[in-house]
Amino acid sequence: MTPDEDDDALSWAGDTDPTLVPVTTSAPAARKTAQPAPEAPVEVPREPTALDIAEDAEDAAAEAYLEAAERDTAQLSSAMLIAYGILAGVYLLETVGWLVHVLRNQIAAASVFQVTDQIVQFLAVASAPLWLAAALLLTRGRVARTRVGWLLLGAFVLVPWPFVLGK
Amino acid sequence: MSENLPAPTSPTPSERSGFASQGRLGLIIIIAFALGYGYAVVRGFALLFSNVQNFGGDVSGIRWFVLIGAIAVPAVVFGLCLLTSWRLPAWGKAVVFLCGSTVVAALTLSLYSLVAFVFFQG
Repeated sequence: MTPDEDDDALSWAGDTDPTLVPVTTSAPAARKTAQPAPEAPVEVPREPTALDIAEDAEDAAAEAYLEAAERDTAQLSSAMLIAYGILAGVYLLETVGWLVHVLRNQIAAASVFQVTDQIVQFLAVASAPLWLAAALLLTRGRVARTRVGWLLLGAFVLVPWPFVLGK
Repeated sequence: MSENLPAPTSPTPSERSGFASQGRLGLIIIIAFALGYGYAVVRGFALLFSNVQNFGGDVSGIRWFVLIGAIAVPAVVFGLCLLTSWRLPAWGKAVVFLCGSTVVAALTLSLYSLVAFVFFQG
C-alpha cells in the first residue's frame, strides 16, 4: 500500500471544493470591512422635552422610594435591638408610674376645673406610650441614631416625678 | 394676545410661605391645639394671680419657679411642636401636637409634685 492510497482512504471526494468551506465568523467581518461604511446619522443635540423631564422626575422618585423602602426593611443591628428593648421597657415603667400616681390621687369631677384636672391626669398617663408611638411613626426611614435620640429625649422628659417622689 | 398666556393658577400649599403653606387642614389642627395650649397658659396665669393675691409679696423663689413654669411650659412646648411639625402633613401635625399636650400634662404634674416635695419634705 502506497502513501497515496492511505491519503485517499482518509478523505472524501470533493473535500477541496471551495464552495464547501465552512463559513467562519471572520468572513462576514471581512465582507463588512470590504463594504463602504454607511454614513452614521448626525446626532443633533436637542432640548429635553416635557416628556423627558417627566420621565427623569419619575425615575428619581422611584429611586428615592426604593432607597426609603430599603432603609425601612433593613435589618436592625443587635445593639439597636437591645437599645430599643431597653427604651421600650423604660417607657413601660414610666406609664406604670404615671398610672399608679393617678390611681392614688383620683379627683372627683365636681367642677369644670376638676374635669380639666382629670383630663390632665389622663394625658399624663398617655404621655409615654404616645411619645413612643409618635417617635417611631415620625422617624420612619430616618437614621437609627435619630430615632434613638428622640426616644431618649422622651424617656428623660416624661419621668413620673410624682411617683418617684412617693406621691 | 392674552390667549397665549398661561392661565393664572393658585399656588400650591408648598409654594406659599408662612402659615398659608400649612394648608387648610393643617391650619385647623394648629388652631384647635392652640386653643388647648392657650387654656393651659390661662390656667397658669390664674394660678399666678391667685398666689399673688393670697400671699402678696411673700411668694418665695421656688413658688415663682412653679408659677412661671406653669405659664411657660405650655407656651414653649407649643412653639417646639409648631417647629417640629412645620413640614409634616396634617396627620403628622395632629400626632405631634397631641404628643405635646401629653408632655405639657406630665411636666405640669411633675412641676407641682417637685415643689410640693421641696416645701413639705425637703
